[in-house]
Amino acid sequence: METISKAKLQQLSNEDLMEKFQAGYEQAFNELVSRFQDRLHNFLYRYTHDHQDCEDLVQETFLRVYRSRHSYERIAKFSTWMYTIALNLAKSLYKKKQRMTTVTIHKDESDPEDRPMKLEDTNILPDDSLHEKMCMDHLEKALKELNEDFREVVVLRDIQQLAYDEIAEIADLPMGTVKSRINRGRAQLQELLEEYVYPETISA
Amino acid sequence: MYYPVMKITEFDRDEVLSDFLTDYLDGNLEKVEVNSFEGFLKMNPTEKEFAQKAAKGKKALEFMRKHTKNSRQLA
Repeated sequence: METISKAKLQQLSNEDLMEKFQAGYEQAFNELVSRFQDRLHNFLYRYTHDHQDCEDLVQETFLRVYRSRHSYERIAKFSTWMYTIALNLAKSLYKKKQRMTTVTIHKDESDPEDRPMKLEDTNILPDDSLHEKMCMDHLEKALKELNEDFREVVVLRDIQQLAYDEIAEIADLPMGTVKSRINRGRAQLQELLEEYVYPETISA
Repeated sequence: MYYPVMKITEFDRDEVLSDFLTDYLDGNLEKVEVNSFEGFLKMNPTEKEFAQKAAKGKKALEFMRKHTKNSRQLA
């Protein structure tokens, strides 16, 4: 089999890379991983809020892409196909976690070696970084509280910057519903942010 | 969990208006269309408030996207 240079692979579209991979070029798969692993991680973090879970889900998504490569057909955009896989995995994990019982591990009083861990104080930051961190903390919190139907579509649109038709395909919704949910999700996110910044203005 | 109670607006009832709002927020309207849409918002305070919140929410998400991208690049 003829070798393809890295430079040539980088010039190919995602769909062309997938076709090369289907034809047996493993380097094409590596290029797809390199293109999408950070984007997938960011996307999945909005669901899990746990970097370790994200890493696992990213690995699992690529593993499924690898194994199911022959079920991909070029009629779909590669990114749409892969995001659908990732979204289904994230939803399954969410359901699984909801079923799990939370176990808290307390300090074992009978063990003199068992001490609470000392954590570095990361709250002391320069003003700009602190402000940015506070904004991000509020945003993360608001996004986490957003109704899942809205969160899914605003993340795909405003964080992942996917096209509306791709989102409609991934979420399996009509285009009109996608657009309406995106606008409502954005507005609801803003209401949640206002609640954190001006809590006294929220009536009981 | 707290969910803000949001009013039902004309955007929920009329898909064309919802499309209009989407294009307005994405900056995909011609000047004449912008004027016409802003005229509609001026006459409808509930829809105006909703559109303003959606615009601010979109900006917040934009900030988040850029910040996340920078953090990942620094990591």
